[in-house]
Amino acid sequence: MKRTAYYLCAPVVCLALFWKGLFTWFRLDDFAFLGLASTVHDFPSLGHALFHPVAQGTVRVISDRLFFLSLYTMFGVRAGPFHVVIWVLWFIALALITEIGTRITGSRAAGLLAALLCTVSKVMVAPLAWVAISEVIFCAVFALAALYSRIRWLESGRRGWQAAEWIFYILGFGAQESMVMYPAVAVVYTMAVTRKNVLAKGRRGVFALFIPAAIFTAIHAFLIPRLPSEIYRVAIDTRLPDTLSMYLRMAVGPEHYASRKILLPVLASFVIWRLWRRDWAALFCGAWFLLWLAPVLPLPNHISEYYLATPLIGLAWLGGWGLVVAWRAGWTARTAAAVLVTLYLANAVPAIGEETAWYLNGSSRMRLLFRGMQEAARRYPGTAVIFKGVDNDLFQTGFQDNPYRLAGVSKAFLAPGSENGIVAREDLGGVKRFTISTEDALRLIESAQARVLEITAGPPHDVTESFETVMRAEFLAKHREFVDVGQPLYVSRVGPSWHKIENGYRWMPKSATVQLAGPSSASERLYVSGYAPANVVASGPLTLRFHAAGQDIGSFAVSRPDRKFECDFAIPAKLVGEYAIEISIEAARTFRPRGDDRELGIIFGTFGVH
Amino acid sequence: MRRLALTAVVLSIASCKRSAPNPSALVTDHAAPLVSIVQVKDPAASAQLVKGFYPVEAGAWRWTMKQFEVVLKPPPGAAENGAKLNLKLAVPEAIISKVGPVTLGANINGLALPPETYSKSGDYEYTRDVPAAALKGDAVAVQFSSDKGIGPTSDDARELSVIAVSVGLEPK
Repeated sequence: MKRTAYYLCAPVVCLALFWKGLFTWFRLDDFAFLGLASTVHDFPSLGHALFHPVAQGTVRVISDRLFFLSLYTMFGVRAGPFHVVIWVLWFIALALITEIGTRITGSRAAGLLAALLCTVSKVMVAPLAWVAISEVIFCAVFALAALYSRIRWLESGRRGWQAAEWIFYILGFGAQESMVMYPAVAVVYTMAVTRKNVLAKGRRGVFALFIPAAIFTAIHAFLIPRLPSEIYRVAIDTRLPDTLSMYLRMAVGPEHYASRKILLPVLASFVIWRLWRRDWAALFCGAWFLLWLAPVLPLPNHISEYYLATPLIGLAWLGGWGLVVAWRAGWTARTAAAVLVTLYLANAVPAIGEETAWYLNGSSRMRLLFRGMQEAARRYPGTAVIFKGVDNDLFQTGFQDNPYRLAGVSKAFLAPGSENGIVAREDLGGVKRFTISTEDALRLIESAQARVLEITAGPPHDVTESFETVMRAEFLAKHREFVDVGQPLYVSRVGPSWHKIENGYRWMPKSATVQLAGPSSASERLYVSGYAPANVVASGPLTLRFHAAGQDIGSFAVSRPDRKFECDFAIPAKLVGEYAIEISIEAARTFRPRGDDRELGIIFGTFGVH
Repeated sequence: MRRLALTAVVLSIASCKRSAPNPSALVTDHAAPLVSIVQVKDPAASAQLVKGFYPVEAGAWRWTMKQFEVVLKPPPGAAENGAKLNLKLAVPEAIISKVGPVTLGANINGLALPPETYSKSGDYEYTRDVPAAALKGDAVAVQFSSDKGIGPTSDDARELSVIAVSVGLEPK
C-alpha cells in the first residue's frame, strides 16, 4: 500500500496541476501528422508515411508516425486517446525518475522529490497538452528505461537487462534524434555514479552503444535532405553560451519570475559542494542536463521550452537530492529549503494553470471550427470553404497545417480582407495561399463551389447567403465602371425599361438606360457589346444612338445577322470624374415577334468605361 | 501470416472512417434581411461587417483596423432623396497619445465623402450627406479609412485604429 502511494504521488500531483492538458484538442503540426493516414493506400505508401523525412529531416517513426497513424486509425480525431497514451508514458517516466533518482542519491525521498519537481514544471505544459510535442516524452521514457536497464544490469549482471538497454536505446531513435546522446549519458553514469571503470573487461560494451549513434548521425547529416529554414538553421558560434544560459533560466522557472534568480545559484552551489566532496553523482546530474540539451543548443532561432523536458530531469535529481540534504542538515537549512520550494511552487503552479488553460481554450476553438468544417464537407461535398472572422490567435492554432483537408474540405480561404492582421509563417507558404479576391469569392459562391463559415464563440455559422449579398455590394462598389445587363448582379444599374434577363442577356425595347461611373480621364471611352439576331436586321441595318448624361455621343449601325457586335464612343470631357453618368440607348426601330407581345429593339450584353 | 497482418494494418489505415454526421456542429444562418443601421455588437448584423473589425469587446464595441468596411441597406427613399451616413465612434487616448490626430474618411459605393480630423480622444459621430446616385440598389458598401493606427506589435498582432459602436444610413 505504502509502495503504491509512493509511486502514485507524482502522477496524482501531475493530474491535479495539468488536468486541462488532458482535454486539449489538436493544433498546428498535429494536423500534418493526422493527415498521414490519408496518404496510405498500399505498402509502398505505408513505407513512405513511416520513413520519409519531413521538412527538417526528421524521421520519428515511433513518436510521430506510428503513434499518429495507429491512434488516428482507431479513434479518428478524438484527442483523448492520444493524451492517455502520452500521460501513461509520462507516469512511467516519473516512476523511472524516482527509481534512478533513488540510486543516484541513495535516498528514496530524494527520488520521489525529483519526480515531483520534474512534474511541477511549466516546461511540461506543452508536452502534456500538445500531442505533436509528445516526442519529448517518448524520448524521455526510452532514455530513462535504457538507463534503468543499464543500472539493473550493472547491479545484477543479468544479460536480460543489458538486452533491454539496447532495445530501449534503439527504439529511442524512433522518438527523437537526441537519442544519439544516450551512449555518452551511459558512460558518464557508469563512471560517475557507479564509479566503475568502463574500460574494465566486461564493461567495455558501453562503447558499442556509440555505433548506432554514429550511423544515425551520419545518415541524418549526409543522406537526409533538409529544406532551408532560418528557424532551424544550425549555428555553432558565440551564441551558444547565451542559448545555454536561456535554457538554464527557463528550466528553473517561468520568465520574469523571482525563482529564476535564486534557484540557479543555489543549484550551482550544491553541485560545486558535492563535487568538492568528490561526490561525482552530482556531475552526472549536470551532464544529463547538458548532454540532452546539446543537440538543440546550435538552434539559436528555435529556442523552445519543451526541448527541456528530458534535460530537466537532471536538474530535478539535483533539486530532490539538495532538499533531502538540507532536511538532514538542521532547522536553518530546512527553513531555507522550504522557502525555496515555496518560491518555486508559487511561481510554477499559477503559470502551469494559465498555460494549460491557454492550450485548452485555443484548441477548443479549433475543435469547434473543425467539426463545422466536417459537417460542411458532408453537406456540400467537394466545395471550398471561405472563413469569415478568423483572428490571428485562431490562425496560429494550425491554419497553415491544413486541418481543412483532414475535415474533407477541398480548399480553404480567408474572407477577402480578413487576411489583414494575420501573421503567418512564410516557410509554410505564408497567408497568401489563403487569400481570395472578392470577385473570385463571389464566383465560387454563385457557382455553388464554396460555402462561407463564420467563426463564433460556439459552432461556426454557415453565412453563405448573407455573405453573398454583402460581397455583391462590395463588388459593385469596386466595379462601377462596368455593367453586364445580362447578370442579376447589376440590376441596380439598369433602367426600368429593360426586358427580363434571358440566358445571360437582355432585350431592350425602343430605349433603355444604364448607370456607370464617369471616366477617370478624357482618354477613356465607352465600350458596348451586344448581339444581333437575324430578325432584328431582317429589314436592314438597325441604327442605335447613344447619349451620355443627356449628351449625344454617337451612333452605331448593326447590320450583320446572328453575330455579336461591339462599338465604342468618346465621352465628353466634362463628364470626367463624375460619380455616375446615365447612358441611354435608342433603337431606330423595334419589332414584335409572333406569339410575343413585347416590343423588341436589340440584345445587349456589357457596357464599360475604360 | 506476416503478409496477412501487414495487409490488415494497411487496409485499416487506408479505410479510416469519416466521422458520423453532426448537424449541430454547423449552424446554418438563412440570409437575414440587411439592415440600414448596424450596431457592431449585434451578432445578427455581423454579416454586414465586411472587413477590418475585431471581435466585440465589453459587449458593446469593436476595435477597427485603419481600413474597415460595412455593407448597409439604403433606407426607404434613399435612391431618390439620398441619406445621411452616421458612424458612432470613439478615438481612444491610447491612439491619440501615440500617433497624434486621426483623420477619418469614408467612401460609399465608390463616392468619396469629406474626411474629418479628431485631435482629442473621446466619443464622436462622423456624419455625412450621401447623394441619391450613390444609393442605388439593395445594398451599398461603405469603406472607412483612417490615416493612423498602432501596431501590430510583438505583444499584439492587431492593427488598431478607432473604436466603432454603430454605423448606419438614416433617411433624410
